[in-house]
Amino acid sequence: MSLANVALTEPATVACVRLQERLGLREKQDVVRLCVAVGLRERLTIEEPDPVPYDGSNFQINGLDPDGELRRLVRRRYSLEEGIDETLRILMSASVLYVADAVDHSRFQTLEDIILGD
Amino acid sequence: MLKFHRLTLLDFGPYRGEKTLTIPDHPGVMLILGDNGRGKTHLLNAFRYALLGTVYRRYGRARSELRSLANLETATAIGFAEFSVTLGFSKDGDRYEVIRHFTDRDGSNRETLILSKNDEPMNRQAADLELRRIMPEAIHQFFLFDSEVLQRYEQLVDEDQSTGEDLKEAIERILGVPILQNARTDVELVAKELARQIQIAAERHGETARQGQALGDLNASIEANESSARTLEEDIERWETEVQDVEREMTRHEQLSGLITRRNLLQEQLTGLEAQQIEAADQLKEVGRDAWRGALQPMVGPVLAELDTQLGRLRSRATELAYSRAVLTRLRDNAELCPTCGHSLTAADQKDLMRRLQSETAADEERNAERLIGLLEIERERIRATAAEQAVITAVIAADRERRRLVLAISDNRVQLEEISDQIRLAGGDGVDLKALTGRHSNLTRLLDRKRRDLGAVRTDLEEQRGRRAQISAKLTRVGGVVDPHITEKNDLVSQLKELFGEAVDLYRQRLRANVEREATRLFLLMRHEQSYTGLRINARYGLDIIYEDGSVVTNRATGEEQIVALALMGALQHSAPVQGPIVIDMPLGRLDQDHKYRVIAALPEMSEQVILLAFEGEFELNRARRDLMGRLVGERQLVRVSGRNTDIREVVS
Repeated sequence: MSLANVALTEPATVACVRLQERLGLREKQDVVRLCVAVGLRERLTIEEPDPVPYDGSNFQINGLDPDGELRRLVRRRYSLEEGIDETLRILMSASVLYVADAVDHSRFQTLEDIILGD
Repeated sequence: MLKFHRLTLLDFGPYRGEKTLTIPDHPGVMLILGDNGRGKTHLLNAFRYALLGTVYRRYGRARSELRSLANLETATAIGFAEFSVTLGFSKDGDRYEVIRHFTDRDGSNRETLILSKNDEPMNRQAADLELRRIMPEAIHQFFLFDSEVLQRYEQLVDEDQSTGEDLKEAIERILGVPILQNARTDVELVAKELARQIQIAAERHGETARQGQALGDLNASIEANESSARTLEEDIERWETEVQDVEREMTRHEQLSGLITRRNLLQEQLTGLEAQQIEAADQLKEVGRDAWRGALQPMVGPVLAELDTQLGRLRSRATELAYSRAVLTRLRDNAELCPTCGHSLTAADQKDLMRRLQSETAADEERNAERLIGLLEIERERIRATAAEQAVITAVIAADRERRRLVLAISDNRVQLEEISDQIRLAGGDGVDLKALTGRHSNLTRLLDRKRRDLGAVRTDLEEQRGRRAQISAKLTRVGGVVDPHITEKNDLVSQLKELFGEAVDLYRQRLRANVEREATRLFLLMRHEQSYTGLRINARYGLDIIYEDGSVVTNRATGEEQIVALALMGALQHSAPVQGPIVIDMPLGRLDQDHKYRVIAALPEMSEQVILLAFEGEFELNRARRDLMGRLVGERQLVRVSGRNTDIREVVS
C-alpha cells in the first residue's frame, strides 16, 4: 500500500518536539529525516509500533522524502514485506525514539555526535 | 585579671535543685554543649545575674523579669518563685564569692546579695560598689555575650552615628579612656580653684588688689576660652568622624562605580552574544536541513560497495551474453557447416540449427542485464548524491558547535551578571549620588577647617592669657605675704598636669586604636581563611574595615565575615583593656561555614585566658574541635535533659 501521509506515534511526536528544541533544527521534518538516517545507519530493528491513524498525519511522504532518497535506502536496508512507505512509517517513530533515548542517556550529547555516530 | 572558678545554681531556669559548674583553673577553652532549650542562655544569664544583678532575655531589649527565671517545677511544688546563683571568682589575688538570692511570694519579691572577699562578708553598699568596680555594667558585654551582641558590633562600620557613638563610648570605657578624661577634668577643676584662691589672696592686699582683679578677669576669660576649646574639640572630633564616614561612602561609591562599569560591559557583551546566538541558530537551521545526509555518510560506502558488486556481476553476465550473441551471429552467417566438426550440413540439419540459433532467450537476457545495469548505475549515483559531502557535514558541525559555545557563553555571562548585580545591590544599588557625596564632603571639610582655625585661635588666645596669668601670678608670689607658697607650688604642678593630661587623652586614644587594630588583625587572620585579605583597619568609632591585598576596603562583607570581624574586635578589646577577664560566649558560630567554625574554635584561646563556649550539639564535629584545640580544651560539659523543666550539667570524659 502506498501512503500519502505518515504520522509519528504519540511518544515519538513528544520526543520529536524535544529533539527539535534541543538540537536547534528548523522543522520537525528535519528532525525526523535525521533520525531516520540514524536508524538506517544503525540498522535499527523495527517492529510495528502502536497503530496510529494514517489520516490527519503530520508528515506527507512526498514532503518528507521528495526525491525518494530515504525510501531508496529503506529498500536496500529492509525486507519489504510491509512495503516501502509502511516500513518508512515504522522506522520514523522507532528512530525518533531511539535518538531521543540516546540523547537522554548521553550516548549522543550533541548534533555532532548524532551525525558522526560512534 | 578576673577569673571564674565555680558557678552554683539553685532552681535557676531549667536547673532544678542545686547544679554546679566547676571551671578549670588552667588557661583554655571549656565547651558546654546542649540542645535547644536545655539552658545554655540561662547559664550565660547566671553569670550576668551573679555579677550585675540583672539578666537579658534579648540583648538591648527588655530585661527579663527575674521571677520568670525560677525553676517552674520547684515553683509549682513549693507555691512560690525562688532561686539563687552563687559565683566563686578571683581578681588580682583576691578571692570572692557572690551569692544572689531571689524570692517572689504573694506578689512581693526580695533580692539578697552577699559578697565575700577573702572569706570576709561585705555590707550591701560595699558589695554593690565592689561588684561595679570588678565588672561595670557598661563593659560586661565584652565578657558575656551572645550572637546578638556580636551583631551589634558587626554594625559598627555602618551603624548610624548615634548608636555608633554609644558603642564607641562603651568601647572606650573598657579601654580605660574615661580614666584619663576624668583625670583631665579633675585637674582643670583644681586649677580653676587654685587660680581663684590666688586671685582672692591678691585682692585682699591693697597693693595687689588691682592685679588680683586683673587676674580674676583673666581667669574668667581663660575659663570661657577653655570651655570654647572643649566645645570646639568635641565638634572637631564629631566632624572628623563624619568626614571619615563620607570618605568611606565615597570609596564604596568608587568601588560601586567599578562594579557598575563591569555590569554594563557584561550587559553589552550579553546583548552581542544574544545577537550572535540568533544568527548562529539561523545558520544551524539553514545548514541543519542537510544534517540527515551527514548521518547517512557512514552507511553509504557499504551500500555503494554492495551495489558495485551487484553491478560487477551483471556486467560480467552481460559480457558473456554479448559474446554468445557474437558467436551465434557468426554461426548464423555460416550455417551450411557444422559449428563443431566443419562438415557440410544437410538442409534438414541447417534448418534445425537455424531454429536453435534464432532463440530469443539469450537476447532477452542480455537486454535485461543491460537495463538492470543502467538502473543500478542511476541508483548508485543517486545514493552517492544522497550522502552529504564532507564540506556540508563540516558546516553543520561548525554551526552546532558555535550555537553551543554561545549558549555556554551566555549562561556564563548571565551568572556573572547576577553575581555583580547582587554585589551592586549589597553595596547600595545604583542610586548612590556621588555629586551629593562630594558636595557633602567638601562642606564638611570646609566646616572642619573653620573649626580647626577657630580652635587654633582660641588656643593661641589661651596661651597668651595663660602667659599673662603666669606673669601676674609670678609678680604676686614675689610680693611677700600675699599668696601662700603652697598654693603657688600647687598651681605650678597643676599647670604642668593640665598640659600632660590634655595631650595624654588624644595620644592614649591613638595608641589604643593602633593596638586594637593590630590585635584584631591578628585574630581575624587566624579565623578567616582568605589569602587576599591583609588585615583590618580601625575607624574613629572602632568599627573595623577588612582590607584587600591592593589596599582597598572590602565593601561587600559576607555575614560570616561580619561575625568573624566582631569576634576579632571582642578579642582585641580584651587584649587592649586594663580590665581583663573570662569570656562566656553563647552560640557564636551560627552563620559560619564548617571550615570557619573550626578556625574560630581554634582561635578562641587567643581571645582570653578563660573562654567558656556554649554551643548546641551537632553545631560542629566534636572530635574535630577537640583536635583543633589540642591541649587548650580544658573541660567539656553536657547539658542533659532530666525532664522538660530540669537539666543536669554533666562532665564529659573524652
